Amino acid sequence: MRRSTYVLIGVFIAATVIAGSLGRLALERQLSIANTRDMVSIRPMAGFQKFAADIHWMLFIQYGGANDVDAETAPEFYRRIMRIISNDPDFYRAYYTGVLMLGPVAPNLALDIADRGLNNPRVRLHWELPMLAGQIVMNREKMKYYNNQPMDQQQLRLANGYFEQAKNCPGAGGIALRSYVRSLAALRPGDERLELKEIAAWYDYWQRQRRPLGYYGDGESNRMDMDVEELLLTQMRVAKARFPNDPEVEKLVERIVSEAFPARRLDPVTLQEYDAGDLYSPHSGVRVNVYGICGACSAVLKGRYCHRCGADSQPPAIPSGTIKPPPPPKADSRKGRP
Amino acid sequence: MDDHAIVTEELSKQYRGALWRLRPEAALKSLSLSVPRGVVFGFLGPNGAGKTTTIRCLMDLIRPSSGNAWVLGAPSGDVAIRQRVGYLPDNPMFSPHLTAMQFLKLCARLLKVPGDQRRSRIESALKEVDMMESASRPLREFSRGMIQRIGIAQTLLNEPDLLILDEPLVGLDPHGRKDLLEIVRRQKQRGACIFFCSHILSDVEKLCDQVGILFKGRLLCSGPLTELLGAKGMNVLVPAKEESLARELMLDAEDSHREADGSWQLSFTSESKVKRLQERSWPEGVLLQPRREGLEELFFRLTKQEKGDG
Amino acid sequence: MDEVLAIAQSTWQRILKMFVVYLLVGCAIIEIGITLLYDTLTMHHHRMLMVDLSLVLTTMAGLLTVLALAFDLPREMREGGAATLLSKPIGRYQYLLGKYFGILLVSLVVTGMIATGFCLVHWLSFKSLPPSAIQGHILAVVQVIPIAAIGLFFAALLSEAAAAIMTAVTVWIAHSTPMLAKYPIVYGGLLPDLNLFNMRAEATYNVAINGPYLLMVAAWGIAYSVALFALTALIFNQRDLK
Repeated sequence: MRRSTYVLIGVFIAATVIAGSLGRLALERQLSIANTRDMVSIRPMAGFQKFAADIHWMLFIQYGGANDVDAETAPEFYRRIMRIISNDPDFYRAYYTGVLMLGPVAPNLALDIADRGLNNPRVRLHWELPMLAGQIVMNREKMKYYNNQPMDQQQLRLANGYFEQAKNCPGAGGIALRSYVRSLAALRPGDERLELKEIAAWYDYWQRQRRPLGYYGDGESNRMDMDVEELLLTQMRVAKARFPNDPEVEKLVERIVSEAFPARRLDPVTLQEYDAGDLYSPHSGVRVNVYGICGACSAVLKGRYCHRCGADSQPPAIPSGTIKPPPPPKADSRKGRP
Repeated sequence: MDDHAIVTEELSKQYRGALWRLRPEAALKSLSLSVPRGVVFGFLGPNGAGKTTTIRCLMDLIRPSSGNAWVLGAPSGDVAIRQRVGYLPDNPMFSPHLTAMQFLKLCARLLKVPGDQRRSRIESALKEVDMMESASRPLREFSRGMIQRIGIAQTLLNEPDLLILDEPLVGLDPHGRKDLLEIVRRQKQRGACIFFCSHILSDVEKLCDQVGILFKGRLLCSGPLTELLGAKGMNVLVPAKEESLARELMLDAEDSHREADGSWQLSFTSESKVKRLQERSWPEGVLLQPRREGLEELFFRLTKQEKGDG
Repeated sequence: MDEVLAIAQSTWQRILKMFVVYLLVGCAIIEIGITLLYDTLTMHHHRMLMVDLSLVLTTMAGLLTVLALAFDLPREMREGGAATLLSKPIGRYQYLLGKYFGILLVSLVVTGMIATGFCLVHWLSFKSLPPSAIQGHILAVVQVIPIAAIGLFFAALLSEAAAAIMTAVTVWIAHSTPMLAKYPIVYGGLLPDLNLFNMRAEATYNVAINGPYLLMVAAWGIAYSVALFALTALIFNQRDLK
């Protein structure tokens, strides 16, 4: 054999070993970047799966434009969606559209698509998909409720799981949280009306989420707590508006307001906030609690110091009976302040 | 070995056919050949005799099954020695997209012709083959003969010590043939050895100092043309008036033909027949001449004999 | 090295003189631009379609260029052109290396032109150019390094049609057998793992393909090409030429 033959054999062996090692390392790195690669169809398509998914997507849109979604066409819609997501498991829009279209007519097919999406680490970052899935399950159970049939606890737990996933996604809308708490309400034991359970569930949730003062450090606020508080209030306002003078609602709301918001100035009728110093609610006209009356000038206090004469009203004089309206302020009243 | 341009020793080649199986018939069978430097060597043989196989073995284009070959004193596989060799392949076909000039530049580059000499060497080679006017035309526009001329030109670029030409006369018009014969003569005068195979035996006979005849992979003969074409037998010239004598002799003659004036020429090669002819008395006008064998005759005699043996 | 460059130059001159190459590149860029019209049909996924289509076309153009040259080499051997060149003082491996560099350069130029055309069209259309799309195109261009080696391997051993078919089939298989990935020396060492260059989905979804990965894959492509080239040269050295 010639010398060059030995050289070539040596080069071949060395380069094969190097290529094998590099290939292994590169593959590991590739799978860490393309972490959904194992979900792609292994059909021999020369790596053109993504392109096939794009083509199928356009065909799906054309098909959707030409056909109504009904029980008859739902399997075909489902098949087309599956074809897209098997070639490109990261095609979020396909999952979303599939679930949205199939949800009303073929909930099980829609849920299957949603579940596939939720198993995908990239797709499950989108909050709309679990939200839609939860709504499909929840609507089904709500229909039973409104038809006076018992709701399936297992299905409710399923919906609750979807909503919980949705609310935990980055950028989740308020609807995700509301739906989640509603599903918690539906899961609550007892024969109370669902509306009452929802208020109670909101209250429980608020209590669970609330952090002690200073938990987030000085000067920091907790946006979540504030949002949940507002959502709880909204829920109670809606309930009061929908069921005016319902004793059960009134009793529950009164309890929650007194326990949860003792320091907030809430109109007892509308649960809207009134300003400090208001003697009557601007929302309903009812008499509201005030901080006190200034002993010096008889103004309705907004706080410890009188906003009109500056007098310290500690302890405040709690008015009883009819309160006379305070006299109009003098132009130079501030000049006499200590 | 150094005083020889080409030496082969028991060179054999058996090609492989379908499924990597060896073909039953070997293309070359233990070919031992030596070609001295500075001669024009004609390598002859019928189609399929193994001429091109031999040349490709010499150029290391095919690997012999056994045996060795040396070119200009170096093993045929030595890449460096090819700098001193010019090779014209059988039925040449070069990159059709290149112009003649570009192709010759590529060849000159591969032959390591110094950059400052390339242009002059290419122009002189193109002039030799009378292709200067077509230098800038792409090769795909060339006829068979023009391609052949360009092929010959590329063999001259490195002023080789050995020219190996495989069927150089094929496709050439009469002018081209004449030019090629001139080129061969000039190269010989320069001191180069020319090894070529051809079917045109008259040209080979005119040009070659030595010949080798190959048949079915076996070398039938090889050596200087003067030695191979020695006196062989007797020719008898019978005048037209002695027709009865001519007819009588024709029965024993190996070859006979009638000249334009009606006289007969009869050839006898067997020694016993020649002896009988010499002992016989002849009428006036009949001439006896020693017969000299032509290359064509030698070629046919040997190959016929070999066929008969086969 | 001058001999290798001379062979490479004659190879790329042949292809780069072909009008059809520029027609191919032009058509590819026009097709990339046409995806802008697919706004409605894709429900506003036309940008992603543009990236994906461009990557597909870049890959296909690379493969087609290699196939065109894979046709060329066996023809040159069949017609005797290779024998003429190999009768000059160059080794067979040098001839192959020249051919490989010629194929590689042409493929890089063709795929590079399409990738550049994509960048231009994308920038003009969306006034932005995501890094992942550029990285995806770099992979698609670099992919021609092992593909050219595969093309050369078959071209050096088989006839024109067989070489082209085997190259296309091998490239197809090399993209389509991720199940073999658990045998790294076989797959990636002996057999090519071209799936490493396939990050089309990531490029489309703006998932960053980091620099070290690009370098690692390029290094794999070079190492694999060296191994395959050595094997090609070994077999080609034993081959009888016309």
